[in-house]
Amino acid sequence: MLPPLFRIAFRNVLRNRRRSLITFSAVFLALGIMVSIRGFLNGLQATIRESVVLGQTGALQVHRKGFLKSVNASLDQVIPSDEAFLRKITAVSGVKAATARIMFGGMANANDTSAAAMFTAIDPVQELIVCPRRNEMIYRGKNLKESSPIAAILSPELASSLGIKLGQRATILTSDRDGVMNALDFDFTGQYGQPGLPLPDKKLGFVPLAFAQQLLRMEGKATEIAIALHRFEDAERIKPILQEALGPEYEVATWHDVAAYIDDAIATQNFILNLIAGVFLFVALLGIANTMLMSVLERTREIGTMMSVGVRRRQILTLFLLEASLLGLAGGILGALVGGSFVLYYGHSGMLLPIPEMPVPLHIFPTISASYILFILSLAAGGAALAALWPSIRASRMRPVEALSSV
Amino acid sequence: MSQTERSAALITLRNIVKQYHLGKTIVPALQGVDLQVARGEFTVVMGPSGSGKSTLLNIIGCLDSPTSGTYHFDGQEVSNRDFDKLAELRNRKIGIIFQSFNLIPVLNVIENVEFPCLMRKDPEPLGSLRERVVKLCEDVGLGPYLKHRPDELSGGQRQRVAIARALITHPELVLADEPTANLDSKTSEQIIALMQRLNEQMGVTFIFSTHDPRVMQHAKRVVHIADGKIVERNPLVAA
Ligand SMILES: Nc1ncnc2c1ncn2[C@@H]1O[C@H](COP(=O)(O)OP(=O)(O)OP(=O)(O)O)[C@@H](O)[C@H]1O
Ligand SMILES: [Mg+2]
Repeated sequence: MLPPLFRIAFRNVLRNRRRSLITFSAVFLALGIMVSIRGFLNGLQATIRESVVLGQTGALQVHRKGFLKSVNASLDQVIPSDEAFLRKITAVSGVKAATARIMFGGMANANDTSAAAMFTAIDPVQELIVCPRRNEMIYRGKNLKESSPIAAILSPELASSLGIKLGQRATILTSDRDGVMNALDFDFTGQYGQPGLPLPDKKLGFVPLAFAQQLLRMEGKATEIAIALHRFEDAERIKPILQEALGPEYEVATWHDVAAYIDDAIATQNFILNLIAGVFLFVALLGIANTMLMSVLERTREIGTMMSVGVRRRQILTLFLLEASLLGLAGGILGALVGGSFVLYYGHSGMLLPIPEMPVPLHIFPTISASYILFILSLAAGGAALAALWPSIRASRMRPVEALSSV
Repeated sequence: MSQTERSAALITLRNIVKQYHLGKTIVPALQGVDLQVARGEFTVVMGPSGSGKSTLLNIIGCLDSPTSGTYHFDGQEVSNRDFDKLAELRNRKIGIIFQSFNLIPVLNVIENVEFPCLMRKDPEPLGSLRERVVKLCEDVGLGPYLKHRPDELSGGQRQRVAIARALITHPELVLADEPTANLDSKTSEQIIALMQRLNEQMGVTFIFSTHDPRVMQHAKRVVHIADGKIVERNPLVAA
């Protein structure tokens, strides 16, 4: 047995079918779109995070203290890359693997042209354990593990400015830590491009760690250790433990710290989503406000009737707010159901998102949380009640005689 | 006025004036009405169109307030009560029947009749209420139509629903503003006869307005009103 006001509200929503349907559809659409976009973004953001963590940064990184603050990739601030040091890191519980890197700048030369470039030296075997996505970083050609010890992977930008094709030979010229110049030849074996990340328009190169250590005369040393965890969500938890284990001359950073731009990008995406959702919801709620205003005007006499049998102002207010919430909730539930089905379906089968200039489309698995669905459902119902507040107050403030004499 | 008269009066209106403002002109709808109605009376307010019958009944029913004058209901001044106090009074002590029935369209007969009782802060248990509602509906001749919505009923049937709704709260006073104006003469007779019977059986005080001289014959007391004034008091039965 429904409470009488609820019964009246429910039947009135059904009474004016067409108008209710239009309002209902607006809320339905708004919520459907909100849930779908949220689900899609959840999937996209998870993929981006994975791409960064599993393809670039690792979950944690260790540098010499001060390295991250220095403007240039400085070769002064080196850390050990020997087995003993790496084992100290992998001994920490939750750590899966660690790999050493050197970041350095140099001149690449070929065909009498030269170009300044940023190089990253990686351990061809360990790097793929810490950052398995590096496997996919080859846009064309082979990765370092499959190539000779003097192989290099170049960004398209660098290759084209040098005018070299895959398989051709070039030279890196750079100065070591003491400022002494040194040069080594390399073979251009792979072209760089990482799935999930924008194709860099910079001049970048990747070389084997041993090659760089020889070129820079820094055997057994590196500038960065990248670390894989069993679960990358544990990064914040393990960071202080690792810091403790290594001591104050080193600095442990999470992927959030070193790739803050990712968090910024995600925040921007969320902002845009909320903006779009907000506009849709606003329009839907305007529809509810309009529907309720019309309803109040049409039912003025009915309001007068209720007042004549002793219904209190608050009860009239409740009745109309209830009607609006019912409209909002009904549209919202269906919207959440349809949006949720979309998310579940693609969350199961995955969604291929083609990225311009990328050979492989991004594979996205949308997800949605129950709490988000609950949140927007209450937003729809509460927003509807808010939108109906003015018409409802108007209804409850009517003077009985005037309401009764309306036609 | 004697003490017995005072206690017998259910309502007492003194020098009630009601003015409407239409732009700059003032329309005097009631121009100093004095009226007492005793418990159990069946009073007809007669008067031509525009004479102020509805205005008077609206004030008696606490749907409107007078411009000046005092109104005592059951010995208590009501003119200066707030909306919810008046709502409470209408809900418990006054039943109102309208010319245009004024039922709630989405509720069926039973639900319309029980509605005033359910809107109370302390509604009675639904079981016993339903029992009373069904009994009353049957009593006013709605037995076969309990589940009908208002738009599935004739005018006479709708007015019976309105009468049942006015009586379900056991009010002290039932007001009916031209309750038969929208009905044919045969149905009108039946409705008036019904109200009269309920007046006699339940002892409820009835005040109803009409400008149809034919219904006068049923009245125990007729109050004539013209141009917002009571022109003649004709107590056929002493209070
Ligand atoms: N809301 C209002 N605004 C202005 N004047 C009004 C209003 N309501 C009633 N009046 C005026 O007050 C006077 C009395 O009206 P009232 O409705 O009480 O008459 P009545 O006797 O009920 O008439 P009828 O038999 O036609 O229903 C009329 O002159 C009418 O024009
Ligand atoms: Mg009238």
